[in-house]
Amino acid sequence: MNYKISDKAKKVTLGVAIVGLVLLVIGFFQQKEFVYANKIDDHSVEIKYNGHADQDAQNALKESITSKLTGYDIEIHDANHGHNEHATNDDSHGHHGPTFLWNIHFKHAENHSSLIGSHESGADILIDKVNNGEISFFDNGFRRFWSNLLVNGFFFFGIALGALFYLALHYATESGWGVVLLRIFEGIMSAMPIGIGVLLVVFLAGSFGAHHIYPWMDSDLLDPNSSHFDPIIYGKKAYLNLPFFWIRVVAYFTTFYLFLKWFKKKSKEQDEIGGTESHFKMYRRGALFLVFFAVFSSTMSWDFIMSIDTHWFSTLFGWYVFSGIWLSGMIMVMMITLYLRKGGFLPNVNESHIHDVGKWMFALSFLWSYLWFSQFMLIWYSNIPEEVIYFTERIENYKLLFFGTFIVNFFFPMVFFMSRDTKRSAGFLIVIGLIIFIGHWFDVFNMVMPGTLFDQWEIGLLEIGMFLMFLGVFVYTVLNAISKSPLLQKNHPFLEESKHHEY
Amino acid sequence: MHKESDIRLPLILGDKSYKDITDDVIRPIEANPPKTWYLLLMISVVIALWGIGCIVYLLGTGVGVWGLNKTVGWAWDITNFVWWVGIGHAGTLISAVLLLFRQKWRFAINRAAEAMTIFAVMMAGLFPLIHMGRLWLGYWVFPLPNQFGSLWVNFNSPLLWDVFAISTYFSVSLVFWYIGLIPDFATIRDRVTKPIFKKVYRVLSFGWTGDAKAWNRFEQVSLVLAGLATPLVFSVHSIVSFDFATSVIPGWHTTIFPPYFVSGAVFSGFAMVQTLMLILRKAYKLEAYLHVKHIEYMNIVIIVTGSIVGVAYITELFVSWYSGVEYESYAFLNRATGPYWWSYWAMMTCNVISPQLFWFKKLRTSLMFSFFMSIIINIGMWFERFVIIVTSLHRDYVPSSWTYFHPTWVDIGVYMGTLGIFFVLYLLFSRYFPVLPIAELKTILKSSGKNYKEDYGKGKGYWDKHSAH
Repeated sequence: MNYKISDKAKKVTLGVAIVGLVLLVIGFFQQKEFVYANKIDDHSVEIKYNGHADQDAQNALKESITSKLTGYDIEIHDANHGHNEHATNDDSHGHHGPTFLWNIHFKHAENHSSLIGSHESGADILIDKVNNGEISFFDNGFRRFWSNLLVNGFFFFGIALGALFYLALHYATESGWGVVLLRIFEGIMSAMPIGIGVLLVVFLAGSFGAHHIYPWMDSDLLDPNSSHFDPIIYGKKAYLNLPFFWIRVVAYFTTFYLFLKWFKKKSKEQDEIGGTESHFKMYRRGALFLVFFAVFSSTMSWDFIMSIDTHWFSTLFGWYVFSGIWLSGMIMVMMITLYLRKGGFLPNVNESHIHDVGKWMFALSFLWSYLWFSQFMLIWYSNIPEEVIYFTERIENYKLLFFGTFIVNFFFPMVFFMSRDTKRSAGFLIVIGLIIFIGHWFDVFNMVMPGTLFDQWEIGLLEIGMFLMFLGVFVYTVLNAISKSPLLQKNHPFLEESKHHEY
Repeated sequence: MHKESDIRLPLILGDKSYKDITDDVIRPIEANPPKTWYLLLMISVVIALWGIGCIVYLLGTGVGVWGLNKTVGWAWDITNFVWWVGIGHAGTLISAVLLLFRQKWRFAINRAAEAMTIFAVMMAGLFPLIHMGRLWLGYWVFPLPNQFGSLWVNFNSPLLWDVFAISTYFSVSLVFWYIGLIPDFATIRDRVTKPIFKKVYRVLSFGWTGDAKAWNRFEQVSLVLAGLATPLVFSVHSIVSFDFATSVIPGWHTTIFPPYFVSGAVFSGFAMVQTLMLILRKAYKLEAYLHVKHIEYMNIVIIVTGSIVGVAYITELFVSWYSGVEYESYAFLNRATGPYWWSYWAMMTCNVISPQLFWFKKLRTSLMFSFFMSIIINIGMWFERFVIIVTSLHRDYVPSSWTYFHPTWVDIGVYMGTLGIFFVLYLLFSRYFPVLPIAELKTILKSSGKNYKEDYGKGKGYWDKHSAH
């Protein structure tokens, strides 16, 4: 049966994307560069900033401090005379002294605070305003924007890749049960160019210095004569250098894309000519894909994600990322299947198929949790400084997100998908599936943000908007791709097994 | 009934009926064993006794009779432990994971593989116990309330987690194996004529009646146990890997250890299954139930797990350089080029390079080659543990205490002894227990039996027109 994307589906997916875009644009112009405040006593606060800010921007910030502390009589002293030359230095890394350091002094603080009836001292109010970003710069480097682009680009690339991986696995293992679902896998993997495109933009921008997500792309850190020289990153130069990185990026994306195209072409061919020739070709090609994938899935996650925290290393990282990719792909398969089945487009998909995809979601959640725990526990237990710093940062600045992600992604599937009935109930699958889907988006968020935004992360309009935009466009692309070919591989040699699948 | 595609090769060859299956599996139990069986048993018993002698000597004299020294405090003892635990992974993987994946070919190997698992785990458990030096205090590993003073187990130690993991694994595997045996014991009970056999099998079969309700419960219990055993397969070897990975010793502390140990365990377990089953099928004339296709499937599992292990080796090697930590880099450089280079390259050749030969269809369907490879892999996986353990320890942070480990005759004797005990148990099993699951084989006869495959042999079936792909 052919699926035709309905007007409603089109409206909903593109509508979500447009709403996302609007939120994204609003969020984009709200990106902040935080300054750091340190309370000295009730009358004075020290304000420090490490990034790039010229004199005009500094004056504007001073004005904003004065205007936001109405009722207080304050004085701003520059306490950083020795480092003033850095104020115009074009460098936003801050491996040296701060760009500016101000002492803000409150005259007669108590008098004034009683005047406006506040229990807080002026110093505390100032610190609050600094910490929640009310007093801050506009982020000209767009760090949040680029970081989010990487998070979403990678997450949605991963979903498509997860589907491609499972399709190859299905052929290589000569599985029969899932044949009636294969066109859905094909549809999802067809959306891979979205992720590839976005990731390419992020990498290109990074290569040309538009953002500093990957510290090793910064030539200043690799120059032994520079004051910012980083010997550890320098030591990784043989692997982490732009030409080799781009060779790898091109190799990953071309390999994946060519396999994707090839699988789609062959399955269409099989529809037309029948026979078993193309099936056995796909069986062999599936195994070949798994060989490439075994290597690329690891190196790819080192290149795209692990190298953000350039000093840090973990041998398990690649497999951990892979488990998340596979699971996110499976959840997407489940959602699309349930949607199409509800519309009556999948007459051959019975409850046993749904149950089996549900089992995969359950099992892969365990796999992910197992790998998450293994990586975390071993590093936590050994407590070696250069390794444990990765988790220290996350626990200090991302505590709720870090542990929350694990708890949600582990306990929800465990509790709710343990029983046979829930794995067959669309309601449970959709609600819990969506929760862990978002949970795994946050997993990627936790992998990226602590290395790019440090403690200055936010979940705001930018994050929500960009996610919605990607989601809308992704689902639309998937549905569109599915509508391009019949929903059933009618000549698959295991089709009868799949049609009569019952377990 | 499940539909099975034409293009799937039959799993049971020949013109077999239900009765043929029963006959073929029970025949060795009813008949008198051949002379070779007695011969093999004798050899195994002698080796086992020699090993027990070595253990007694060890316990009487002290752990100093092993080749351990002040730098290498763990060597063959823990190598053998991990090797045996690893072998003990295949059985439960086959019975639990492959059951969940609905792999029908597993019925040709699951019974014997589960038996192998149980015996292998027993051999593994022996090593920590004798390593204590005082075997009779072995129960101190359990957190038992006691009045010995402040004696209490250390819950922070992965060695204790090992105690829990392995004892749980052993119990569940044993129950799983035994539950599967019950209907088959009942079949034997109903057939044998010797009174003593009849009595014993009556006890063993727990009064199995074979009515619908019993079968229903049997199926449910199998599935529940499979669900329980699957996480156990992961947990056991993960925790064994924690013994090393929680430490701060370069070469031991690496996060990839848990999944890579699990994969390595399945790899070595399947190699051992391959070794044993290739002999068993020949000796017991079970070629119809365990044929080339089964061997090929096992070889595919071997190539997959072997490649996963290979990726892990290379990842470790790469990250040791990438980390920029000089101790890490040295540990791996020393493995590959130091005094133990030969063991590292033995491991690499046996575990990573040689299984890749299975990519050739000709080789992975050759019985002789599979048998040869299974031995190679067993050796390689022993070396893997030796490499991880001894090469990481022998050169520690203080160059003045760098040493080389030499096994003593007791080290070798104990190891050979466990092989002897293992084979004694396995030979007894193969003589008195049904080596194939009779009842479960019957469930696939009509869907996967050659004679039942649709139109087979009448010129219409797929395989009549095509040669194997």
